[in-house]
Amino acid sequence: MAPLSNLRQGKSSVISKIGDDISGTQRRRLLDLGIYPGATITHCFNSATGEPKAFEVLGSVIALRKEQTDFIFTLED
Amino acid sequence: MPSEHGLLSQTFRIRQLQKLGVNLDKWDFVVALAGNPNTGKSTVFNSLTGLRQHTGNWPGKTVTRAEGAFSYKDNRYKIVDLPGTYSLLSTSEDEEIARNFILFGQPDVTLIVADATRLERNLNLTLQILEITPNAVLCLNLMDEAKRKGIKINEKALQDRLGIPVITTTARYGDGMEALLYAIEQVATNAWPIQKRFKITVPKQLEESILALETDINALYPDLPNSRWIALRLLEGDERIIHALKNNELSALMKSYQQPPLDLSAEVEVLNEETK
Ligand SMILES: Nc1nc2c(ncn2[C@@H]2O[C@H](COP(=O)(O)OP(=O)(O)OP(=O)(O)O)[C@@H](O)[C@H]2O)c(=O)[nH]1
Ligand SMILES: [Mg+2]
Repeated sequence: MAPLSNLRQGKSSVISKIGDDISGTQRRRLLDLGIYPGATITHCFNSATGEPKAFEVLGSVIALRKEQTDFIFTLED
Repeated sequence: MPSEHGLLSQTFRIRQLQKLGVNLDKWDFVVALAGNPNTGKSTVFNSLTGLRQHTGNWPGKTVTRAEGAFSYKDNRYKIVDLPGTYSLLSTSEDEEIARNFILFGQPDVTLIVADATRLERNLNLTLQILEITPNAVLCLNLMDEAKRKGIKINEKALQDRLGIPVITTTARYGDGMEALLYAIEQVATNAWPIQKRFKITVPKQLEESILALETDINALYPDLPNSRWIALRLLEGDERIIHALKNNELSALMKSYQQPPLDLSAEVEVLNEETK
């Protein structure tokens, strides 16, 4: 398993786990957006400052911050 | 029947459907359009009302609620187009408009428009809606895209599991609209048999806490719908709901939905030839 923050731009992987560090409404929000184990996620692009980063999941592009991507894990590809 | 390309939804006709534009003087039933962003809600709205709500291929186009009307057979319907939402729980500000109407606008039918090519996430919202009302219809839209991608959906199985009508459509070309109208009518007039209402069972202890809170909420705010849903949010510690309940905002919201309809005639264009 590797944190999503390691996923290189243009690459896709499959989400394997959302860490316990993300809890409550934050965790709920990610699940509602389609970030759950088994979903395919693609690192699309970065903002000018490098953070947040844009990811595509189920056809929607969403911005995630490092505090989140460090605790979302993907299968290594 | 396969549709011809270029045949836009605005031009199709269905027997017994009258597109009434913004003629909202009276109605028998209210239909709310719910669904993830960019699933074709406004396209369905336009097909049924003859109006031209903003549509386009990116999420977040509809930012406020818009109302229109149609009649089908013997009944008149008010239909409310809403912004797309991923969730009724973890809402952003835009999404709150949709959530509040679904919860407190007391629609007779909640028409869930789902993207058939992204069913997983769309069903997440569907289940959240079924937690608050069984009076819903699931419209699996973008079926042309689903077919193109080789996605097959067993809508009959979905219908059996969810306990609500499930209708496949390609709203852009008007496909499936007649079946959709029929399903809306069935649910609105209570003709749809609710044999197996979808229900999420919770542990006994939690159920007891919910019931106790629900009783209190009903005593304090007797007119408020969905007290069970509110009880669950209170147990979760949802700050916004706690705040809204304390300040009596939810009742105020509900009353605002019973006001005379908004006049949108300046904002939307009525296709007069369609509303004959
Ligand atoms: N291929 C195809 N495209 C469709 C269909 N229905 C709608 N669309 C297109 O999908 C896009 C989104 O449609 P809208 O009606 O704007 O979607 P919406 O759900 O109102 O979107 P938001 O208001 O942003 O949440 C538009 O480009 C429509 O023309 C369909 O059945 N098939
Ligand atoms: Mg819209």
